[in-house]
Amino acid sequence: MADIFVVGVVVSLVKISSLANLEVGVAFWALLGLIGVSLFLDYVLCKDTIWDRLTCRV
Amino acid sequence: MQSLTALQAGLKRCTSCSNMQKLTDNDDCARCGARVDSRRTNSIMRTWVFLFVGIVAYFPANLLPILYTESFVGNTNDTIISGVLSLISAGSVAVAFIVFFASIVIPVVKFIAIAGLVLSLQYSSNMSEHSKHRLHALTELIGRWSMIDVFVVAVLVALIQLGAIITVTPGMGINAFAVSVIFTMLAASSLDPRLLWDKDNTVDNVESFDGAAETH
Ligand SMILES: [Zn+2]
Repeated sequence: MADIFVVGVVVSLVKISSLANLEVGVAFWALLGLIGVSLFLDYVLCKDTIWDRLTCRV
Repeated sequence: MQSLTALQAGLKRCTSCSNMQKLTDNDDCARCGARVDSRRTNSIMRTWVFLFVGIVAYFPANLLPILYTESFVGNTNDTIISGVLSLISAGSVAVAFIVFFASIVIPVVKFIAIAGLVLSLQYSSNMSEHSKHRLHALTELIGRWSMIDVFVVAVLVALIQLGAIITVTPGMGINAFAVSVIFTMLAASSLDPRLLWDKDNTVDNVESFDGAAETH
């Protein structure tokens, strides 16, 4: 859900930018990075492999 | 090519850890302890109930205001569609398109897709296995995206609290919208995809098979 949250943040920033001048801070880019990393983690993590490693320790 | 389901092989698979065990084994997974069902009980009825709530809540979500803006130039109410229109008039067409798609198109597509899948289970349909798979993958993929508007309201309400100058408060519409999205997600997750691949589409067969396995 974090990836959708960041799209929500971008839409909100666009809405606010019609009312006021704004600059995005470092935390915004950090949030983007965090979400990129966690999406990549979901993509590469194979749950079955983890369970297999946990049960038969070879 | 012949397909073989776990049920036909006399096995059941744990959805949490993918461990296979015999249908006659008990309902706790031998590996991770999660509950293991060959097919989820009452999957179709639960899906219909959740979907019904989702569709009913969709109407107030679109008709009631989602955002109240109080400012020194006056008060305005925004519904989902008026928010999209004001984004267009502000020149942010791409963002307006994203919000329109996520809040208005995706929920309707999802209602139709879930209803189509359940109807294909209840009545013998000539939908191919592959198109059933694609329809199911679609419902899993797009469902979460409708939450965008809920997050937008949450961020705006949190950020725009400037007292007399401008203050934004959430309206009932966004509550109804969140209920609609959450219940549609519940409908999608309570639909057991394994039912889609059972050659004999009648669910009763599966459930009586389950019952028979338990009494052995
Ligand atoms: Zn398990």
